[in-house]
Amino acid sequence: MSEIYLSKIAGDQAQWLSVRQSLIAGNVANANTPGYKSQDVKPMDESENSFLNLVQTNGKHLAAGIGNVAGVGTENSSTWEVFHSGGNVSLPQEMMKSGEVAGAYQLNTSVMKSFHRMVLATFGS
Amino acid sequence: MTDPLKASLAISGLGLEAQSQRMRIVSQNIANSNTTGNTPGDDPYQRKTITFVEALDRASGVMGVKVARVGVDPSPYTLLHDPNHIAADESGMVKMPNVDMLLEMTDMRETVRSYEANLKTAKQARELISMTLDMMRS
Repeated sequence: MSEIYLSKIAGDQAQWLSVRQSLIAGNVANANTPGYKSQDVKPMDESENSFLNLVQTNGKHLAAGIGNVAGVGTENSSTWEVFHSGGNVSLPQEMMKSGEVAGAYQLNTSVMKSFHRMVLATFGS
Repeated sequence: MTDPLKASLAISGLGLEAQSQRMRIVSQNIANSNTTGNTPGDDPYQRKTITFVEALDRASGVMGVKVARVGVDPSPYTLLHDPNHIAADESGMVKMPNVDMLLEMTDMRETVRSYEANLKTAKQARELISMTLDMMRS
């Protein structure tokens, strides 16, 4: 089964979407924090080929953030508005991003579900 | 490394907590909008303010939000002419708190909206977790 990379790709995307969701949660929680800059993950295709991200080479290294796996980097995203206090979290924009994440995650799990059914069908169970 | 979806739930919880504290300050300000001093020329209740800061939550190990400090609003008090009042000075003026009801109401509305947004992200994270678990169901 090692020739089928679908599960690996789907797993990577699920991981990417989860990290994005946690960053959205952080942005929304800090919507009223002065000077807080909205964060987002790098697009998946870009981060896949990047070797410039910090990785943990030892289990005792402190993680620099949530889900800071190799290939999932964060960046300050461009937002719709900047407040007088310096924060730039736009709640409507975060809600839209959250909706995108939900849709993509739903697609991801549906594809994996049907793929799993296909595998089971091959074994005739 | 913590699971990002569990981290989202923790962060949303911290956001809810922060907004509740803000609601508490708004309630305090509104409740004390007529609190004056007891002796002539005494200072009345001073409006409280609240600020947030991004901070590490040690319990869950995520960068969330917490209350930075609860301060006081240094803006001048409103003067009201009421010679019969207990806190009236020689010229009959009473210092009233610098609480602006309109400002408190808009602040309250914003608090409610932010609270709703945090609830929404928590619900969303829970949905994503249940979608993942549903993959195991046939």
